[in-house]
Amino acid sequence: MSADSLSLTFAALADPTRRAILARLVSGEISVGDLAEPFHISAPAVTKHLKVLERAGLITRGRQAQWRPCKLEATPLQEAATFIEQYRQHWEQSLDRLDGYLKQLQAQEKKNVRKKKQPV
Amino acid sequence: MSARKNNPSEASATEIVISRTFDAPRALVWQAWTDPKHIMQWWGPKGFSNSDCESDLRVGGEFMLNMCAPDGNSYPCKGVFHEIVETERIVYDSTAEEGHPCGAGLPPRSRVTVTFTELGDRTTLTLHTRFESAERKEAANQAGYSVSWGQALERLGDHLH
Repeated sequence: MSADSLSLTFAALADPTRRAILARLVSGEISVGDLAEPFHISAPAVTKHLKVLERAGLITRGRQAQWRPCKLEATPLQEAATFIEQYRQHWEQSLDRLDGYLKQLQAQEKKNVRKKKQPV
Repeated sequence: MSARKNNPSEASATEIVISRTFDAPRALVWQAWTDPKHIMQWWGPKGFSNSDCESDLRVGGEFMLNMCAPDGNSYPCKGVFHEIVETERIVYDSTAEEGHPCGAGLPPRSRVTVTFTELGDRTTLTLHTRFESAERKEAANQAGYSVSWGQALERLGDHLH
């Protein structure tokens, strides 16, 4: 997955209304009108959010005139989740290694101190 | 980069936080984190090594490292120091190219803030990654961003499985 599509996904997810829209779409296809209802915002405002989600590939919209149902597309979300998992792994494992390295440094330090204290 | 972006109240939708406490004094953790000689010993996942590392530790200075995977692939890490508070905090702005989503630790268009907190003889390190995006500015102007997209994603993931 390219960083570009990742950042599109992240940008799309950055808005709470858009996250709520995605959460609603988990249960199935919905029309724009039905989608707008619980958000207390206008249909044009919802349409604007849908365009962002559509551009990020997070949803698709049917071609049937009038109705144009919105459908959740899981792939970009799964790709984003995979990225986060890899990124976390990078740092969790780096920090594991740093932990071991710090122990090694401190053991070395102690050894050096002991050496200095020994009578010549 | 504007100072406004550093406002914690804007802590927003596009971030990942990883934290770890080390049984080592803060000065030593700082040294291990900032000296290339030390960095090369631990940076990267298990089994990875580093062929070279350069760090110009001052604001605006460059950081680079070449990370080698067990399969022989090389992953460059590139960034610029945005802020340095000796032994306390270090902020990187990634200059990674788009083709490397993880950026060997500094993903493209991300700002990574590392804080070192003293706990007696121990040190807590917190690594905070924020992804910048064109829409972030717009998003930062709106209220109610306490839920991170990471959490949102996990919740959505639960739904999808």
